[in-house]
Amino acid sequence: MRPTQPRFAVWRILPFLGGLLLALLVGIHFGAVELSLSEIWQGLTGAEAGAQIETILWQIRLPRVVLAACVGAGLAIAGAAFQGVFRNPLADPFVIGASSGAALGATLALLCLAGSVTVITSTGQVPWLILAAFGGAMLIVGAVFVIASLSNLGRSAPLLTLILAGMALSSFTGALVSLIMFLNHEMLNTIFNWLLGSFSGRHWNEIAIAGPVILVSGGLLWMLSRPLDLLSFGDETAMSLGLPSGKVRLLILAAATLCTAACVSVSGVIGFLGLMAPHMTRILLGPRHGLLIPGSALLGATLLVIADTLARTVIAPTEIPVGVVTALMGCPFFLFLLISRGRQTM
Amino acid sequence: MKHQFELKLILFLLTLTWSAGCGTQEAGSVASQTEQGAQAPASELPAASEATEVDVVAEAQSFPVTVKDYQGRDVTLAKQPRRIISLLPSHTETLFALGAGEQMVGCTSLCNYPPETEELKQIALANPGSISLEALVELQPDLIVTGGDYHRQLAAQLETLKIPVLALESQSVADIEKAMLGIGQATGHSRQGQKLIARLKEEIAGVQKQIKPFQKEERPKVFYRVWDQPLMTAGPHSFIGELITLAGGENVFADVEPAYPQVSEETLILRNPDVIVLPRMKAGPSDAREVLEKLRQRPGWSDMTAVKEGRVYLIEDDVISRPGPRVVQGLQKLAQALYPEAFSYP
Repeated sequence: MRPTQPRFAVWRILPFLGGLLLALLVGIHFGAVELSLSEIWQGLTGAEAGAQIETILWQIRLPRVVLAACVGAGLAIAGAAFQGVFRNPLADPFVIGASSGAALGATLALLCLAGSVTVITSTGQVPWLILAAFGGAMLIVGAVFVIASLSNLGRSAPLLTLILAGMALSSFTGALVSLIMFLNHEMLNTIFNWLLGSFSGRHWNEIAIAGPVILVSGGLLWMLSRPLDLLSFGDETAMSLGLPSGKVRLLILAAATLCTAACVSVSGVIGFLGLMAPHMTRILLGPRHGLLIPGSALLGATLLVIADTLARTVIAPTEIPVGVVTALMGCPFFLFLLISRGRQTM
Repeated sequence: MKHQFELKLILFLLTLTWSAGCGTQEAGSVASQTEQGAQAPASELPAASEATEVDVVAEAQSFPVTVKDYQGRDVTLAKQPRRIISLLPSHTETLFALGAGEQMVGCTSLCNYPPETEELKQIALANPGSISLEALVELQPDLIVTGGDYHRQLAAQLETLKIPVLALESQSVADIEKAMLGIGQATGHSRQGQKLIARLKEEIAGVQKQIKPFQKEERPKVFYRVWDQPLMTAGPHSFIGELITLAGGENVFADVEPAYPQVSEETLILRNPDVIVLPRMKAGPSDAREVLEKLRQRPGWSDMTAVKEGRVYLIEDDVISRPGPRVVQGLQKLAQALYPEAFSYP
């Protein structure tokens, strides 16, 4: 039985779509190199706009903006799913160890592949760094699940066990990464940049790898928005309504982890977005996942495109890691929303 | 933020690594040149005369002496130090160049030139977080030569232990001269110090004289690539930035504030450097041709003048990034990369 949802609710998502389109335009327009709107138009439509402009637009600017949008959407969807499944407003894509696992995988890859750092992700090469980050994320999340299921004797609070195991393993892998950095001076910049999250030097290659994963896992989570609604009322309610909560929850967690791993493996650790975007959307659109997930995706994409644009332009030609920008710009806005409309959250 | 502590640590280490200009390279400098760009391979050219060849004359210098450190504070030494420890690779080289190597008992594990450093007791790593105060005290030093700001805390600790500390910066050619003067006075080699300074000036002038006939109104645009991901360069306020100017080049990122900033790829492509110089690191590829091939594969890079014309050069990172007596070798390699015609021999 589908609860009746006002038809016009769908329309409330249109401003989100408009916001994203505007952000994309802003992201393409502004950069270290100023491209005029007519140049962008000429470049996009294939008219002659000068070889350098075309190179910058197609090979550097566009892939970055599109990748930021993909990662922003992915992190926001995963955040919404984790918050729903854990029934914990503090849950974010990193809570069960996905980010620290990815960081460890990437760090190890950087260490082993030091010689090929030059073009670690150039087109046509095996993207070892991305694969390693992805593998690391899946490995650590897998370990978290195994540990949680081993300790889950009284099955009193399995979700709490998951979060605690995730935090413990996160600290452990974080310490390992720090140790590797401490012992390898020459890798500091790369690893550091990676831990702060950055889209510097990312090209179409990364989109081709992470994009489909984010699309499929994000789409799956959207399809699971009804079960997510039920789960957020609590297990008993969900089960009494005939939902096989254990299996569904595992499916949701797997999809959200996959989505997170894909995002982290191409961008590094971008904090706060996965926590912030779903809450903001919940304040603006309400808690129902059918609307919350696409809304979060659009808002997350918008925010990350803007954050990356700021990272590229504020002190151009110097770049700032985008993770710094998301935290700096997101936190005050988030707090403002909390204070002004906080009573309606969750 | 979860990683706040780690980030602080990392930031600190990063600052240190770059300000110390430390590499972990074997001694000797060879600039590899690519086939297209070179008439005479750099390695066949006569190397700048070794700084250690300065004749050591026993000086009848009277102690106690008072030496000014980088903050202008007086450091008084009651008698000629016999047990010196150096905590910066560049200061270690200066000590040996002055003929004070005999008086040394310790250096850091990053100090690798001259080869005699191998025989000295090595102090852990050269970052303040991992230098063991106990290990320093155990060597019973009567003078510890440190870097400026990044050893400030350590210097304060040593002072409370009544161990004489001479803190000298090492970030520019002017700093090198000050260090030569100060270390010379403090160790009883002030005449050698003055000689060394005179020779340094003479050799720098010599390199500039050699390229002068080939300099045109338009100086070659240089991009010095410190690191690939993130893309990092040497700003005009860095030691390397200074060397680029001295070698008759124009830094394509002459407008950045930080010493070693992360810069935007778009700006680099638009500014289209004539020459790309990279440090030859332990971890990176050692062949300039290999690097060039990789750069060619990067989206947007193949249209750059430097890449098209194959003017991509590797310079041993010890001589290009270590502000010590061997600076002239780094300068010469750089000048060679910018003005190959000035260094071609019949």
